[in-house]
Amino acid sequence: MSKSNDTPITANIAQGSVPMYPEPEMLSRDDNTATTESKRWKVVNVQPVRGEPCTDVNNREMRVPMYDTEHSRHIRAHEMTHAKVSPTAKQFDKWLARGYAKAPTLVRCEELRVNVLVAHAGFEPQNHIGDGSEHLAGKRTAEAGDFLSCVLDAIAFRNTNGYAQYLRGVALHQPTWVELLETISKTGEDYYLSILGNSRSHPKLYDTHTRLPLSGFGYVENYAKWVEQQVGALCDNPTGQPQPQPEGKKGEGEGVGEGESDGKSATEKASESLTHDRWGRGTIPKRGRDAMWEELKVSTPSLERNVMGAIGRKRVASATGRNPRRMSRLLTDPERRIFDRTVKGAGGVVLIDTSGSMSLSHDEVMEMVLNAPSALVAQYSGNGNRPNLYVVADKGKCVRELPSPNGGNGMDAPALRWAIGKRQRQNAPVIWVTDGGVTGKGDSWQEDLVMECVALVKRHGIYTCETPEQAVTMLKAMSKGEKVTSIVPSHMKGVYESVTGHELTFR
Amino acid sequence: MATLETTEKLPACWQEVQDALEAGIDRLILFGVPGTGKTYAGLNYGNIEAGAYRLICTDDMTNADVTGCWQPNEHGSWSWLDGSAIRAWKGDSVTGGRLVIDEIDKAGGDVFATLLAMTDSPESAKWEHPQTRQVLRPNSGFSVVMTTNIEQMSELPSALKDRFPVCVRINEPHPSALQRLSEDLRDYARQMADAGERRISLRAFYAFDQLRTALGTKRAAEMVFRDRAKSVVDAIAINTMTPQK
Repeated sequence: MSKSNDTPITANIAQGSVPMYPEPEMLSRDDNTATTESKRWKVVNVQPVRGEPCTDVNNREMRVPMYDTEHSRHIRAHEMTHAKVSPTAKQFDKWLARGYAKAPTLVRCEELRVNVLVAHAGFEPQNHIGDGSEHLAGKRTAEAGDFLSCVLDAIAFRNTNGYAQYLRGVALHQPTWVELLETISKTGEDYYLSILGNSRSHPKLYDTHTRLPLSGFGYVENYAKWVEQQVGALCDNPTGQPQPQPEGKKGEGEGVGEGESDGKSATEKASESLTHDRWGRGTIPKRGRDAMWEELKVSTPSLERNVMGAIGRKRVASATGRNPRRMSRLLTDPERRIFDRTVKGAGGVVLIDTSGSMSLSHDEVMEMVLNAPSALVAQYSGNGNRPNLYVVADKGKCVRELPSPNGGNGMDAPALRWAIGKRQRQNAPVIWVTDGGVTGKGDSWQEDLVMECVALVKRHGIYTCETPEQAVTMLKAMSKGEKVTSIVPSHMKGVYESVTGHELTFR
Repeated sequence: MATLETTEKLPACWQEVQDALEAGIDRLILFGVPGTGKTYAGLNYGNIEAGAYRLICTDDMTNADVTGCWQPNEHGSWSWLDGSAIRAWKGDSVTGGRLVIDEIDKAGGDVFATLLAMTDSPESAKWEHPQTRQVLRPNSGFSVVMTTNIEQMSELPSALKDRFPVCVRINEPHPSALQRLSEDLRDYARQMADAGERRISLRAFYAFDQLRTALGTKRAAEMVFRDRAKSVVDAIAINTMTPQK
């Protein structure tokens, strides 16, 4: 799957010994032609140390140790399995472009799949794969407080001889992480084993195919997505590290991420969401996450009506300044504020979900518009050929008649991204009025869509509220400069908890 | 006319052979790795109703194998015995037969020169019988298939290439030859036939297939593949995702 162009550290076979060449030409794949004269494998003999053995499926190059030892044999089996099942560079780029998981996570989760498959083929990676460097790696990564790397390394080492060593290294500095790493990596192993054990699984865990949905790498993508969601939920705090649950929520175990009364940690509970049936392949579009959303069609009707008391800029009297424009105040104002000062509006963007599930009336929308002084207000509702996002107020002016909504959602995340891009300043607030009933193209529903919106809200500090009343209260508080807190839509909260096992909180 | 038809789709190289023979090409060189069925194809496919005659070239062979030789008879005198090339020329006396020349690159200078003459175009090819003084020409329908294990056609003399404009590189066994193997071994045999230095011949897989039923996979592999046995067994385990016994 990966290839380094550096010079390999080659190994010398002892005199009299025969180098044990692997036989990659014997492997067959559905997405790659068999060996031919111009497509023979190049096999390079390298030392059996971490980082040296690798396989480049594209260029048919394999670097493996050729000693006649069980350790080297298992490394060869590991690389042979990569040659058998791992995606080519081009395929990997396509998987990456789908946007469900990042490259480092996909690579580590693929390592686990390969180790599981190696064991399934009759080898013993848990006894023979490992080079003794894992303990130090765990110690140093934990010492640096890099939880994500610890998770990814634990996944990559899972089912090898180095896994226990790695956890021991982590425990020296972050003992509370060990159980989490165990749960997350075990979830992946169990997930892969459940697919292997299910004779009806289609595709098989080890399948390859030019059509992505028919490739076993889809399971790796699912698991990688789950891992990123877990780490995101666990580290959702300024330190970027998993934090202990509040005292009142702790269960029997006192470790990080634990806190449910039934003795199961949040991560363990969330592992139940990673099942074969739930993450059925057929529901994920081939082109990836972006293909799940409707295309955004923005319309800007003419804004003819002034919003009362809500202009974008205004001048107010000031005691200091350059040009004394309010001389009369010398007599009338005890503070003698004869100068002018320009006051900018708070700005911000209010995004209103006007889908059918929100059941908003014309007056309720107008109420929000009128309470969003100097903000850009937009309403969105998809599922039709008409524009699906209307700008209904901007810079103190609004439309006379609100456009009638289409009825569905379809493009919540694209609308959110549009709103984020329309902020007047970096710190201008974005308020999203929604019930959390996020849907995709054709009003289809999937957890991925909700989780994408959650990620956007968290990343950009978007305020959320469910009802027009809550929105108006929030807008009024904002206009007074008071601190406001998001009201998390209950539907969104439920999905997030079922996927990650953690409670959802917004800014 | 015997054809290369099988129940499977023919690989590209064998499709070329079939197309050439069906189109009436009478001079064909098949080259490539050994054990892929080149000679078998030469002896059996295309129009061979007038007989197919095989000639295996070696350093020590003489023109006796090509054109013929005198040999003692039961009357105490000598009689002429036609060589393979002349017999192929004659065929069934009406139609010329097929001459299959194996390992053409191993023929010595004399033999090579004679073979050039025997495989020349029908208009130029002629040979005088030493006993009857009769001048022979190849009967119509005479065809030649040459086989060689060399990998690059550039290694063949230009005079030979000139007489054989159609050359096909055979890089995998013929499907009908693979049919003799157990189904689970066919892909390996096909893929390993053209694996360069790590090639494993079809014959090795035949032996492995036969031995493993009695001795088990690992023991059979040790007997056939020797130093490569472990790697071969491991590769089968990974490819099938099934432990091997």
